[in-house]
Amino acid sequence: MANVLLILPELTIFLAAILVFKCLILGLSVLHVWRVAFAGSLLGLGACLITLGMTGEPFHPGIYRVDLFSQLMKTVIAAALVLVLVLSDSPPVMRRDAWRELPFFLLLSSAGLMMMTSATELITLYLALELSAFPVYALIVLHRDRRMGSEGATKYMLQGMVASAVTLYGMSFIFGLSGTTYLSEIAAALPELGSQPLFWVGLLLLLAGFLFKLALFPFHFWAPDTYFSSPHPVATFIATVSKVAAIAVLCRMVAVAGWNEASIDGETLRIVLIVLAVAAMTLGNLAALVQKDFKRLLGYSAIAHAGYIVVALQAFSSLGHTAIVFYTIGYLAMTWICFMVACEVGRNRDTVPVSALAGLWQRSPMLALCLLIGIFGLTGLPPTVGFIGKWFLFSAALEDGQFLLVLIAALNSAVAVYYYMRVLRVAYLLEPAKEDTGILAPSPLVVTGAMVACLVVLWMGVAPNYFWEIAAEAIVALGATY
Amino acid sequence: MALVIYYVLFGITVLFALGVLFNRNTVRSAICLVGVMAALAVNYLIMRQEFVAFIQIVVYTGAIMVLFLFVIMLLNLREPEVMPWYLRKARFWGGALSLVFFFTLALAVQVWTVSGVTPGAIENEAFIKESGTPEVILLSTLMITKYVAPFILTSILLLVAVIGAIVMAKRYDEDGQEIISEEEVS
Amino acid sequence: MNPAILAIVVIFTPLVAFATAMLFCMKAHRIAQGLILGGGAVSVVGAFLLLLGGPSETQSIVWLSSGSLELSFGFMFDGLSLSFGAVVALITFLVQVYSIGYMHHDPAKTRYFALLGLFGWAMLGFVYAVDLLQALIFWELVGLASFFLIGFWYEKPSASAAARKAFLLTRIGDTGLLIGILLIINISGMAHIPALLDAETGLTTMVSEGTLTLLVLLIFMGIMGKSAQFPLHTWLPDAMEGPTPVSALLHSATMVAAGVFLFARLHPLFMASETAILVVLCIAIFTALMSATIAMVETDLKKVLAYSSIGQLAFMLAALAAGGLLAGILHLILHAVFKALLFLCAGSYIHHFETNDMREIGRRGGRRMRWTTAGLVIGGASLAGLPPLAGFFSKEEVLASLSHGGYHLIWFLALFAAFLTAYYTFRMVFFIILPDRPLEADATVHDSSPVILGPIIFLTIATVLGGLILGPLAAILLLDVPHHSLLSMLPAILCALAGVFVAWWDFGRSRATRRGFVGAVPVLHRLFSRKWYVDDVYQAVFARFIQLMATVLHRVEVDLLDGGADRLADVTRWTGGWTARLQSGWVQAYIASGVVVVALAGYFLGSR
Repeated sequence: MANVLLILPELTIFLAAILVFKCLILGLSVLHVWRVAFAGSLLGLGACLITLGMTGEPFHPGIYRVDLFSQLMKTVIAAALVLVLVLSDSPPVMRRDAWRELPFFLLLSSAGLMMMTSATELITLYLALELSAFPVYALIVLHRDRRMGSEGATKYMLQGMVASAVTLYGMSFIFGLSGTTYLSEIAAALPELGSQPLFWVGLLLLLAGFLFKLALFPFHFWAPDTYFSSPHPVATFIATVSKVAAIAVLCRMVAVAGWNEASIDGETLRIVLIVLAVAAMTLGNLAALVQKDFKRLLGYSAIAHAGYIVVALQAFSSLGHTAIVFYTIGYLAMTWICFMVACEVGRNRDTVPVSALAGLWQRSPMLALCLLIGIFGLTGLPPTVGFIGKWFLFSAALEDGQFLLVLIAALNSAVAVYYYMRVLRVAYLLEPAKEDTGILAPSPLVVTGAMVACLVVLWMGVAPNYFWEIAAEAIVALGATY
Repeated sequence: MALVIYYVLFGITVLFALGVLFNRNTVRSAICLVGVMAALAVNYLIMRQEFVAFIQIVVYTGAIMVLFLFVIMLLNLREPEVMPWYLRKARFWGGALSLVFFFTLALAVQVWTVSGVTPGAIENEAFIKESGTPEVILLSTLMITKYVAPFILTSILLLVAVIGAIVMAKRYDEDGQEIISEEEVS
Repeated sequence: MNPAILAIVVIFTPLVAFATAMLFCMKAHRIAQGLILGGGAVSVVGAFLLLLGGPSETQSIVWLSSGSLELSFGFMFDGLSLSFGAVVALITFLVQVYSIGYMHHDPAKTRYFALLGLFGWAMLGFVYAVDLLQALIFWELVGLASFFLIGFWYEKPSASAAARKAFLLTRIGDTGLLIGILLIINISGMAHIPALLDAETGLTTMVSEGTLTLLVLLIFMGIMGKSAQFPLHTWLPDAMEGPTPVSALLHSATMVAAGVFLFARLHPLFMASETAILVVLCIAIFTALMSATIAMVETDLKKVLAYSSIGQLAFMLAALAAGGLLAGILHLILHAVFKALLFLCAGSYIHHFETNDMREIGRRGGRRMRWTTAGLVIGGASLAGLPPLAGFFSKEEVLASLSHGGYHLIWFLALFAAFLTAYYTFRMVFFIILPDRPLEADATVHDSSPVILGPIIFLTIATVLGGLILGPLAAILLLDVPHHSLLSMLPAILCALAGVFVAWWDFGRSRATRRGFVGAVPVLHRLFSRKWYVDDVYQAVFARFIQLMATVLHRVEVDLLDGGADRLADVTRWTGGWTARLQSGWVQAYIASGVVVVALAGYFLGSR
C-alpha cells in the first residue's frame, strides 16, 4: 500500500488519462472531457503535494526513486499541467474536432515526464522519455492549419527520434562498460568507469536526448519551428512542462557523474557543456533579435535560457543544482505567462506575430500587465525571479571560478534586453491594428492562473528564501542518493 | 575464434544496413532490413541468448517486416519525379556524414584496441552457466522483478503509440466530422 | 505592540497610499490627497509611538542566503533610527499639509502627492534599514523620488535639466557607495549593520586601516553626492526648480539628510580611520566656507537657503568626523526643523508674489505677511545661531565637538563660517523686512491660507523650543550630555551677533549701501557670484569632453556599430533566407549538425 502511495501522482494522472479516454470513446462533449481532465490534473497536483515529504522506492530497489527532489519536480510539473489545461478550455487553434483529444495527450505526456524525474534506471528513463514525447508528436499534428501542423510534427518527431536514438546509443555504451543499467550501481562503479573515456562519451550521448528536450545547442533547431507551428496550448506545454523534466534528469545525471569529486574526465565533459552553453546563449539571443513571430521569439529565448541553465549545471556543485531547481520554478511561471498572453491574443489566429500584440494595454490591461511581468522576468530585471534566479545561476558558476563564462552569460542577457523590450514596446506604445481592436476578455480561470503565476514570479523575486530553501533541501535529498 | 565470428557478423549486419539505406526500391530496402534483423538474431545466438534470438526472428523478421511490406505496397510509393536540389546529393552527404560520425567516435574510443566482447556479456554468460536455469525463466524473472517498471512503462508506451497513430490518421471533413470511407461501410 | 509590526506600518503606509493613488485616483485629486495625508499621519503616529517605546532589539529576517553570504531585511530600533524616523515622518507630513495650499491650482496634483508618499516611504525605509544592501536600495529610491519631484514641472526645460543634474551627480557618488558596499560584503561576508559595527567582531577587526580608509572613503563618496558636499554640490541649488515644498522636504529631513544619516549610522567605521576623518573635515569645512560666501551674494531667496543647507550639512559632517556624534545628530534634527520652516516661509512668499528675488519680495511688501515673516525671522535667527533658538544649541555643540576633538584650525574656520552664515541669513532677513525702496502700500498683500500657515506656525514653535530635545536625545542615543561653560559658548555667540550686526550695517540701516562688504572687492564678488566657477569648470571640462566623446562615438556608431549592425542584419537576413528554405523540410540539416557537434564533442571527450 505504501508503494502505491509513493507513485500516487503518476497513478492519478495516468488514471485520469484513462478516464478521459473512456469519455472520448463515449463521445462526451469537449467541455465534459476537458472538465474531467482538469479535475484529474488538480487531483494529480494534490497527490504530488501529499507525497511531497515521502521517500522510498516503489518498485525493485534502484529502479525508481521517490524523494523530495523528484516529488518537488513532479509538483512543479503537475502545477504546470494544470496551468496549461487552464489555457485549453476554449477552442484552441486546432482541428475543430481534434481538440477533444488534447487533454488526453497532455495528461499522458505529463505522466511520462513525472516518471522521468524519478527514474533511476536507464531503460525506465528511456521509456519515460519516449512516453512523454509520443503524445506531443501526435498533438502537434492537430494544428488547424493541417500543412503547418504536419510539417511541424514531422520535424519535431524526426529530430526527437534522432535525439532519443543518440541517447539509446549512449546508454548502450554505458551498459557495455558497466554491465548494469542501474544508476546507483553505475555510481558505485564510477571510480573505475570514470577513468575510461568511453564512459564520458556515453554519458554525453545519453544526455543528448535531454538536452534536446531542453533545446540546448546543437539540439535546439526544433524549438522555434515547433513553437511556431504547434497549436498554442501545445506550444505552451512543450515550453514549460517538458523542460522541467529534462532539467530534473540532467540534474540527476550530473549528480551521478559526480559533483564534488569531479574527476579530470569530468572536467572535459564540463568543457563540452560550457561550449554548448555559450553557443546556445549566443545563438538564441542573436537569432531572437530579428524574429517577427512572438512564439518563435520565445523559442529562441528558450534556447538562450537553456544556455543559462547549463551555465550553472556545468559547475557540478550542489549550489549550482539548487540554483537550477530554483530558476526552473521561476522560469516555468514566466514562460507560462508569456505563452498565456500568446494564447489569449492568438485565439483566432494560426500564428502570433509580435505585431498582433500592438495596443495590448488598450485591449486588455490585465494581459498587458501580465506580459510586462513575464517579459521582465525573462529579461532578468528585478524585482522578478528572473533577476534573482539568474543571479543564483551565475553565482554558482562564479563560485566555481568560471568568470569568463559568467561574463559571456551576462553580456548575453544584456543583448536579450533589446528583443524583450521590443515586445513590450509593441504592447504598450503602438496602437492596435484595425482588424483586432476588440477587447480581450480572458476567462476567470485564466485570470486566476495568471495571478498565481505573476504572484510566484514576484514572490520568488522579492523573497526568494522560501523557495531557495525548498530547492536546497531537494538537492540535499538528491545528493544523498549517490 | 569467437572474435572472428563476431567481426564477420558485424560486417554482414552493416552491409545489410547499408543496403537498407542505399536501395532506391523500397521493397528491396525492406528486405535488406529483414537481413539486418536476422543477422542480429544470429548475434544473440552467439551470445547464448537463444530466447531473444528466437523472439527477434519471430517478431521482427516475421511480423513487423511483413507489416512493413504490406504498408509499402498499399501506399504504392513511387520515385518522386522532381527532386529538390538539396535532396539530390543527400544520399552522398548523408553517407559521408555518417562515416564521419563513425570515425570520430571510433577514434575517440579507440575501437581498434578494444576487444569485441564486453564485460557485461562475459558476466552474463557466466551467470547463465552457473545458475543452470533456462534462459526464458531468467529473463521473465528479471522482467517482473528487477525490470518491472520498464516492463509496465513499455505497455503504456505501446498503448499511447497506438492511440496517437489512430488520432493522427483519422481524416475529417471541413466540419470536423469523421470521414468513413465507403469500403469500411460496406 | 511589536516594534517590527509598527515599523512596517510606518514605512509601508506611504507606499500603499502612493500605489493606490497612482493606480486608482489619477482623476480624483481629493481622494488621492486624502490618501497620502492619511498615510502620512499614520506614519507620524507610528513613528512617535516607536520613539516613545524607546530603543529595542534589532529585528530582521533573512532575505536571501546563498553560499556564505547572507542578506537580511529588517529594522533597527536604536536611538538614531527612532529619533530621526520620527522627524522624517513629521516633516514629511507637515510638508504634505502645506502642499494642499501650495499646490492648490496644479492640475497634476495627484502625481505630486503620490510622489510625496513615495518619497516618504523611501526615506523612512532608509532610516530604519538594518542591512547595508537594504539601505542602498532605499537610498536609491530616495534619489529616484527626488528626481521625479525636482523635475515635477517637467515641461520646464530648466526643471527637467535640474532633475537630471541632481540624479547624475548623486549617481556619481552612488557609484562609489555601491563599490564600497560590495567590497564590504565581499570582505566581511555580511551586510548586517549592527554586526559590521560591532567593536569586537565587526569590520574594523577584519581589515587593515588602509583598507578601511578606502572602504569608508568610497562610502563617503555617496554621502558627498547625497549631502551635496564639494565637489558634488552643484545639483542642490539647481534642485530649486522643483516646487518649494519639495525643496523644503529635500533640504531638511530627506534626501540630503540621508547622507549625513548614513555617516552617523556608520560612525564607528569612520572613527577608525584617521585619514578618513581628516579628508571629511577638510571637505566639510571647505564646503561650508564656499557655500557661505556664495550665499552672501545670491539674491534668489531659495538659492540662499540652498547654499545655507550645503553649509549646515558640512557642519554636521564636520561635527560627526570630529567625534561629536550627538552634536552631528542634534544639528541634523534641529536643522531639519528650522530649514523646513525657512523653506515653507519662502514658499509662502513665492506663492504670493510669484518671484524668487528677495529684494523684490521686500519691496512689494513681504513683511506684511506677518506670520510668514515672523517664521522667517525666527528660522533665520536659528540658522544664524542666536540663543535661545534651536540652531544655537546645535551649532554650539558642533563647534564644541570640533574644539574638543583638538581640531583648532578647523574650529576657527567653522567659527568664521558661522559668522558668514549669520551675515547672509540676516542679509536675507533685512532685504525682506527693511526694503530700501518700498513700493506703494499694496492693500492686496495678505498672509497665506491656514493650511500654509499651520505648518509654519508649528515649525516656528518647534524652532523656539528645539533646544529642549538635547537631553532626551542624548538619553535615547545613550550618550552623555556635555556641559559647556558660558565662556566656551562666548565665541559662537559673538560671531553670530557680529554677523547680524555687519548685516544690519550693510543692509539694514537706512543709509546702508546694500552692496555688502564683498562688493568692495570686485574679484571676490565675481568669484562668489559665479559660484566659485565650479559649474563653469564642469561645463568647460565636461562639455569639451562630451563633445569629444560624441564625435568619437558618432564615428564608432556610424562606421562600426551601425555598419556592423547593417552587416549583422544582412547576415541574419541571409540566414533567415536559409531558414526559410529549411522550413520546406530540410530537417536533415538540423539533425546533421546535431550529429556532427556531438561527434566532435565525443571525440574531444574520448581522445583527450
